[in-house]
Amino acid sequence: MSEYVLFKHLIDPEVRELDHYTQLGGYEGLKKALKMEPVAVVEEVKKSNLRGRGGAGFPTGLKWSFMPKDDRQKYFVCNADEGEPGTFKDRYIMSENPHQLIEGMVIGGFAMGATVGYIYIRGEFKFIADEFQKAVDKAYEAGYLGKNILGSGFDFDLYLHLGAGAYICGEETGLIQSLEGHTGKPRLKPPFPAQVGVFGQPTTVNNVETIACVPDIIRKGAGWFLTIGPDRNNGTKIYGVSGHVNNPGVFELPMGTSLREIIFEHAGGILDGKKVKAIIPGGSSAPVLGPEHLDIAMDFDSLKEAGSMLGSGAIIVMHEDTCIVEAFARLAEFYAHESCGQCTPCREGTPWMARIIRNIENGDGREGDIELLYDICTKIIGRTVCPLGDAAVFCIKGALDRFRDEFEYHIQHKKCLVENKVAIYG
Amino acid sequence: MINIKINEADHAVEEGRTILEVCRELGIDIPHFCYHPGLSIAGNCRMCLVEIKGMPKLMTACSTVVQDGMEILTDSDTVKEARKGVLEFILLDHPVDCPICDKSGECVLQDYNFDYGISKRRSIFPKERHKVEKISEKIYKNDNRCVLCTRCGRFLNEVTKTHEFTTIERGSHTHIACVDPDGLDKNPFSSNIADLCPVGALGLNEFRFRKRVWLTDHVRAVCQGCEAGCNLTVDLHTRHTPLDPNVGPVVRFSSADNYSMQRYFICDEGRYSYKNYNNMEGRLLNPVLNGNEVNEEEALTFLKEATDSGLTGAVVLSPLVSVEENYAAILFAEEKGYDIFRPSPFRKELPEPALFIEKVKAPNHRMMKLLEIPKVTDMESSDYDVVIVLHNIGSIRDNSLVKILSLLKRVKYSITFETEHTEFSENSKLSLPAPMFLEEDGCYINSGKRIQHSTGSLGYPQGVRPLWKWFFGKRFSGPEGLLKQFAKEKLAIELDYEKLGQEGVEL
Repeated sequence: MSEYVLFKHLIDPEVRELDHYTQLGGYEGLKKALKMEPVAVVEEVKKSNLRGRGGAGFPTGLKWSFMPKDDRQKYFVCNADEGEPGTFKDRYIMSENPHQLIEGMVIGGFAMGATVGYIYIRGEFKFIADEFQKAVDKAYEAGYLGKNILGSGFDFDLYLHLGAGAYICGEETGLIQSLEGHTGKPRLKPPFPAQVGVFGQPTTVNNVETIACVPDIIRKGAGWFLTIGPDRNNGTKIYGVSGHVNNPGVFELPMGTSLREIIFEHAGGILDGKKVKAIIPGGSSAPVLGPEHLDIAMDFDSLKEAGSMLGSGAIIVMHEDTCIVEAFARLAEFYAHESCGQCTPCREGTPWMARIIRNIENGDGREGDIELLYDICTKIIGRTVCPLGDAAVFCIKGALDRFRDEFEYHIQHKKCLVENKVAIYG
Repeated sequence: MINIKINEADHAVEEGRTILEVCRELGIDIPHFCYHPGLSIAGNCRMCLVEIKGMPKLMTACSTVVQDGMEILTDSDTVKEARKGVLEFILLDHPVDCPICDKSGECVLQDYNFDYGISKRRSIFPKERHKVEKISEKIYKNDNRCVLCTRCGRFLNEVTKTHEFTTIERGSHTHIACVDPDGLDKNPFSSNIADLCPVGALGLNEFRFRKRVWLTDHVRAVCQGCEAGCNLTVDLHTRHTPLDPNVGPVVRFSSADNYSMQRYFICDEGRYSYKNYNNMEGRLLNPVLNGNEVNEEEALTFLKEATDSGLTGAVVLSPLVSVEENYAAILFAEEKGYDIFRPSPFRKELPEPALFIEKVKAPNHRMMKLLEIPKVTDMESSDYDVVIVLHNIGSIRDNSLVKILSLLKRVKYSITFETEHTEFSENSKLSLPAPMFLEEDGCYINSGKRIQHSTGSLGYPQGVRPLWKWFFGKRFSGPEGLLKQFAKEKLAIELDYEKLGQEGVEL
């Protein structure tokens, strides 16, 4: 068993309490960071090869270094929207190990010169937010937040903001819009948030898991972080396994653990001993993989090579009794439902695709529908304001590429290829 | 200046501008719905996507700033395919009811679809339907046709800052909603959203089902409502068809973009003022001498008798009529040695928001001030034998009006130029029919000292002659000659209509 970087509650179940957290070395990273130069903190994070855990895998240190070094008010925003279907990792950090996220926020704020931090939590997590707020209050009491933190002269205020239930608010500019009180519609980039972000000020948005990695990196040094996981994909990763497995759940494992190990050792194997049919490796937006990919190392670069992506590390497993058309009709409807309606290709294209796939699933598919779906995909991808359109295309095109035969069977025979198919709940 | 390549051709362009602006100035058409020069960049229609060499994705021309060495393709196959895609998406839920749509004929969706679109519908799904609603006294909204460019909402948020519109719902259910219909009626600029709408989703109630736009001629004119000098597109009912309702020669006014002034909108007062020009009732069409209609010769004889006998005289100019007409009067006065005066124009309190609306309700008041012409109310002695008054009524202050009336009543030879029967014409010996706005080319100098050309397109009505013809006979062949001479003599610059172009010249 590897060491736990994020899930410290597996070492000490009471780590959500401040004193338990400090016993495990909590806030030592902050103390160390406050004695360093901000630039040195950014350098340390750069050296650690920490990459964004929200989906894109962008190097965190590099992202932090984009923040201008002037006197403007800057903001550090934590993306705790966790909307990607299949993803349920950040909530455990926030509910079980909240101080690590708070510590990461303060260190990040210090490194970038941001004195205000926002944690944007999805509205459904109100109960977690309430608990998290208690941890924030404790941190204020103990002097880890607020004015003149630990006598360093650095001020940092942390606010929680609840979203209102939109997938699109997990996209950083959509999140910023929502945080400001507007409807969550992504902004045009450029300008990027590092130039014009929250309230027009320089802003960095990072995922919960990313930020929670930072305290240990600073405390133990980038060198320690580099010892975990394969080169350029260092650290541990929280994999959330759902779908047709015996033991669905979240598992913190070193980056690059094989899919087989995650599914069969940690998630208890496939339900009823059935065969694996499809695996979505990184949240619904990652192109679907097949059983031949079971031995793939679950890290950013390996999955990219395989034509998919690590995304948020949310693994959705589907066994042989799953109707792929039905599953992806459901997912396509998700994207259509969550499209913000701002730009034309996504607003009009995603519902069209969803309707076509639902039609195929219902046995009303027509010859040429698959070609039409492909054509719609090319007309959406890369032409939208934000990556939601791309995500929908990755999802649907991935399924079409891999399971085209099943779609064709549906169209030709007006029924499902799978007998005794399992229900998919909409 | 930086060097860029557009469609393989080299261009030197100004730095810091977007591809779409640069292309517009170079005359390269990039289709777009959501971009508007007077509004913020939304980048949501995705119609203006262009290819930039070295970029992995197509970029929106409206938001991408040109950079040195950029190679842009606006008509490559990828770009055309992208446009086709966007149009197909838009038409998925569009009723294509062009035959009953008032925007038809000036609808960019229609134009773009002819240029780039598909001819066959590939979707088999029913279209979402919304009711057409009259959202205010002025505006109707047809969500079925909406392409969600959000120009209307941005206009109300950014320009008038009155926030009557918002988008509600999400995804393909998104639509524009009016949250403040009363505000829309009170907003002095709200009718602009009908112009802004690139399709037929927003329109003016009063224009609905009234006229097919391809049966009108469009000319460019300068609004006469105040001294702001906003540019108008005037739609003229010049092609009659048997089915047309009996509408006047002016069908409507809409705003015309003036990039030099950075003005793209007009106030509703100006917009609906077109009705004034359709009213021919009470129009003065023949000279009236001592209360009787006379022919041209008799009128000219009287005019000669009055002005050729070396009597003292005064000319009262008008802030209402064009530079050319005023200059003709000035020229005449100078030749005859008459004094020149101007009336004080009528002023009106500004509405909220006022934006560019001016208090002075006369389009050419600035010319009077530029030439430092004394006010008629400052006239020291009223010892004149001849008084010539230009068409003034309706837009001057009461003290000027009283002064002019007393002059007219007192002098031996009182001559007025009028468009209709007014107090002035009734109190003068001779009143001569004058052309109205739109009947004659003319220039106006606005409050920003910009001289702009307004097209006369209706021509003089039977019996009406321009002022310079009464004064100078055949000396000038048209108003342009007067403008040229005015510019040379009074402004010491060379000007003609070509130089003024569509957007005018700042003095």
